[in-house]
Amino acid sequence: MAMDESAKELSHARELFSRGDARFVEVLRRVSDLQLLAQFADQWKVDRRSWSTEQKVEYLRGKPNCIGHQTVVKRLFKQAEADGDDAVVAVCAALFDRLVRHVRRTRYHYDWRSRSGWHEEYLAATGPALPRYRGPRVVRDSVTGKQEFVGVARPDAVYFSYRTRYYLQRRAWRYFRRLAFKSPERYVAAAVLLLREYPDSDFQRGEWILDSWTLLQLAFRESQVLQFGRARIRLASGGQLSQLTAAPRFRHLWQSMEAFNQLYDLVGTAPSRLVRVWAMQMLEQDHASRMQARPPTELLQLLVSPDEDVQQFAARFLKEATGIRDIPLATWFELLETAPQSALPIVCEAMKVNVKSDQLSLAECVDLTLREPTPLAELGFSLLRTKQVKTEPEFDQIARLADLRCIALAESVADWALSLVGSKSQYDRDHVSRFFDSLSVGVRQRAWAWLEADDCPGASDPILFCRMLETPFEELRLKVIDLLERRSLPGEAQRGLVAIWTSVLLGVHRGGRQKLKATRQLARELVAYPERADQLLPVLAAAVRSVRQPEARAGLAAVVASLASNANLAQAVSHHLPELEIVSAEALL
Amino acid sequence: MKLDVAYVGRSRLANEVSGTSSLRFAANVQRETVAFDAALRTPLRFREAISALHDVVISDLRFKPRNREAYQVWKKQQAARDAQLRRSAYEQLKREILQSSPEIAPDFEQKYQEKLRRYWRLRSKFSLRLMLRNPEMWRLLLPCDPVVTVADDVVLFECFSADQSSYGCLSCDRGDAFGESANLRLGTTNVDYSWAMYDHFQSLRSYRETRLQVDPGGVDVITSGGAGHHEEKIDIPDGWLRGFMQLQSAMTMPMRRVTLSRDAVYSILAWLRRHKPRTSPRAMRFELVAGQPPSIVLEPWEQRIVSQSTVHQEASAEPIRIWGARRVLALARILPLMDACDVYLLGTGLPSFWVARMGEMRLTLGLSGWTANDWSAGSALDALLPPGHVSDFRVRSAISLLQRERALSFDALQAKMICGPGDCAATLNQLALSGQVIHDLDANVFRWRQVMPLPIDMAELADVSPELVAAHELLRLRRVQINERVEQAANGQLISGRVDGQQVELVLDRDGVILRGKCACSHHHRAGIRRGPCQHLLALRAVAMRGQFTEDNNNSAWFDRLLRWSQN
Repeated sequence: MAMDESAKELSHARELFSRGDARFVEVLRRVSDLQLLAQFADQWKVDRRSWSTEQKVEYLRGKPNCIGHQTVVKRLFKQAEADGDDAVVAVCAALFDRLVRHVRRTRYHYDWRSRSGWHEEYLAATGPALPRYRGPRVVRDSVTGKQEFVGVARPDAVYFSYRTRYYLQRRAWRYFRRLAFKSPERYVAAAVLLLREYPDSDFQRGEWILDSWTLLQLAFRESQVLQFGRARIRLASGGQLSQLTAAPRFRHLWQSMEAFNQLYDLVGTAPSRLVRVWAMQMLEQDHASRMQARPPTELLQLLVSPDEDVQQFAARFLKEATGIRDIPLATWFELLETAPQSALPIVCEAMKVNVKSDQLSLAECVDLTLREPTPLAELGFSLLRTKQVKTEPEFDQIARLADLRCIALAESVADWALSLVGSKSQYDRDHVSRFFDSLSVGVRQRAWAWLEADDCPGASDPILFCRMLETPFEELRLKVIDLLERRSLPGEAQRGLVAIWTSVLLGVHRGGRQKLKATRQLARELVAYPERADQLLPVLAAAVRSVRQPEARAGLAAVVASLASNANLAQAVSHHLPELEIVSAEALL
Repeated sequence: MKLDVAYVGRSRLANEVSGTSSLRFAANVQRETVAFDAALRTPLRFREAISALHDVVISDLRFKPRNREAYQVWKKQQAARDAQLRRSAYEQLKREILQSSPEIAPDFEQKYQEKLRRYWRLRSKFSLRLMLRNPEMWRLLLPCDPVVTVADDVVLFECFSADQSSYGCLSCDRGDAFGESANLRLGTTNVDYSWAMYDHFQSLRSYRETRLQVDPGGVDVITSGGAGHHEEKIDIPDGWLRGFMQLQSAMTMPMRRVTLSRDAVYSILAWLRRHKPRTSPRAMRFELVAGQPPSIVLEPWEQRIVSQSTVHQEASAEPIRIWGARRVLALARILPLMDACDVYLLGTGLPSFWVARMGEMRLTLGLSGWTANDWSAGSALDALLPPGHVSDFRVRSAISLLQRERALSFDALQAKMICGPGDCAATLNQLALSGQVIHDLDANVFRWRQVMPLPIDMAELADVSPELVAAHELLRLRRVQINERVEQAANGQLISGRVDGQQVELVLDRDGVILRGKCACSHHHRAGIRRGPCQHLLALRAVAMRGQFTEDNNNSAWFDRLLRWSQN
């Protein structure tokens, strides 16, 4: 039955193969008969069409989980080896490395002589999981008595034995080794093809790196950290994988200009981090002078790579790259837009060093400072501080810094900006009030600190205070209440205080201490201006009736103090607080 | 349900050359043209009021689980290997299924509903995380674009909260809150809203002239892909629309009005801000005695707050309890502006409406019966819906009248429709439930306002639980009988009874929440009350909470009962 199905699938695959149809590999992978596959593989391996070679690569890149396909893999590999097809051999070599997989396990040993036991870690071999099928083995459930088929693996469902896998690894490396001796001019290009075949998933575990025979032979053969055995690679005594550095076999072949270009290309495009780091180490070891001569625009492309290692690598060479100061400003700005978040600090640092502040206008510096990620804001601010601010439009630009979004820089930028727009000679309330209205808490706090400074030109500006009293921000209102304990507000600003007192006394989120102060201030205001009782008493009533006892007590005390100072307020108090019974002092006596 | 909206540009604060600034709302170009452009007369008051509306939108008092991020990361790493295997198995299975192209399985619909439930569960979980981490992104998940209605006398801004339990409506008198509108087109539309817009509200000041614009510019530039043109397909959660419409429908019913002073509202908020109830009961209890100031008791502390400067004019009534009181904290920002607050109550465990009067503005905060807008909320409110069918003729007649007049009082509408008050109320209830009418509680008029571009079909509202439907049927057939009530000191009360021939026992806590139950039906046998109570328990609870059957024979009886309740 299985044979019939395989034959059908294979004839379908043959049809697709002859037509050059892209579904060919998918159909072929469904065929599971070893004999039929062997016959077809003999035909496929000698097919010289370029489409056929592409299909070989695609097929070999597939997961090694098809029953009976080992014969196809082996035939394709041997033929490619004979034909000198570097691309196919590279795919095969990576596949063979992937077939050997060890995992760390723990086992228990017991020594009966000393009657003691211990646990020991070891590397256990695993392999790709092959599908099971419902075979002829039948078992009977002991509880229900029901017969069930049990899934078993087919006898041929082995994707090479482990011995064969080791052998295939060695043979794949042998191909590259011989290539280095016989055709050294082809070696680097073929090796790079191999290095590109390893994705990051191949090195998820440290032990999987040790399983990659061909890769380690090629890239780390001379490393002191590794100990190369006949079929396996182990860590040398005291060695750690973290100490692994690039130490390739045939190092002299990697020192040519062509090899430099290939390595440089690998840094940007290799799919695995291990290979990228290896390529970077190779460039640093053998091609440092060539790297320094590399055009800085190319290094900038590396700088925006998503890999942080590559960013750091590019940044190291960018510092000493010749011609970096000639990079146009537009390129830098483009880089700022395209750089990933992790690369921004490096790009900004490079820009800080290589861009002169006179290349940017004051408005551009302000725009940069107003941007959100901290490195951008820092860059803008560092450029901004070198600028001279003299004219009115320039002060207008500085006032825009009130809209700063970067939390980390809010306070320092606000201090700097206020030292300009809030200085005695340049004081402009339109500029300064923007800092009190800022959405950033840090900016508002520094604006308040500016206001409280001894020689602040805005301290006696009633219009500035009038504007500030309209603030929607609670912490500023509370600060106004605190300020009123020390001094009164200038001129007209005093009239806007009722709104602040109302907001503070009816605030439910914060301001416990300020509420007590506000009630005292209200009482003082009531005594000073009894004609405003209808405006002030409803606010005080909220405190008197508060469910919070300290507020109610303070409110009551304020009402009593007002009445004690001015008995004429009794009527207004009775009107707004009818629940209070006002007893005259004489009646008490 | 999918709601398509399209805006030309973003809502923003535009600074004009003349020095004035304009709050420019981008209107939905796929709806009727609405335009408004007038100066704000009291920008500070408007700023505080609209910011309170924002607080309603972001109000989310659902349970938020503690942060287990580190554990989740560890778990993710552990699952990574399995995920790889599953992915390959999934791909293989997908290929096989696509090749074999099977017919639709008979249980496809059921599976789809299960997956949909799972999707929304996960999405709301994601939404909670996002709300904490990235409010900007979170807003994209929310159907929180407010609905703006420009009417002859008022401009309304409406929104619904993230937790599907609060409704906010800011109503501004056109004459007092705004100047003359240069460009005016009456109607209702959605406006683009973002977190940045909230920040712009904070910049409103009296010394800068600010105009409010509902920008109809998009009508002329409806070319898709044009500069600034952006469209959104908002995936509205099932419960969201249902909750919104339920509150709208509840607003049309006769309700008991209680006026609270600003001081009383402040005391309620101040207490709730400082205290968190750990045990039940957690309700807010209104104790109303004719001729005396209304008093509110906050459970479980039994903290009594008396509204000193107001007097309850209507007849005394038994205490009314409402839950989810913390949602009232959304009113905190407008306390300094508030003159007084009218609370409209439907009954214990039913929606309530808090109308904060602020001179030229009113903010209506509608609260569903419970913070978790779940089956218990629905079950209580559904019982108040009119029993009789409303004829299409009557509905069409009401629609044409309201479309023509824009706003009508109940009596005026009833007179024009030439029908009884019960039928008129039932018609308005149905129109509100389909999102076409809003009851302006303060002005006591019914306004023509379509929430969605098209009327909402009842089928589009999410299905209620089948157990709930069955429980309603049992109540209708009067197959519920309470045999015994036993007060328990710790756990509320034990109620035993007979429902549809089954012996049922139920333990309710002091908030009326089902703690335990005993029933012989298969639903209860499978999962107890973990997957929601069975129809028998629900029916028994409904009778136990209400104390009597409230089924009416027709719309008139229904309306008379509600009217009596609201007035006595």
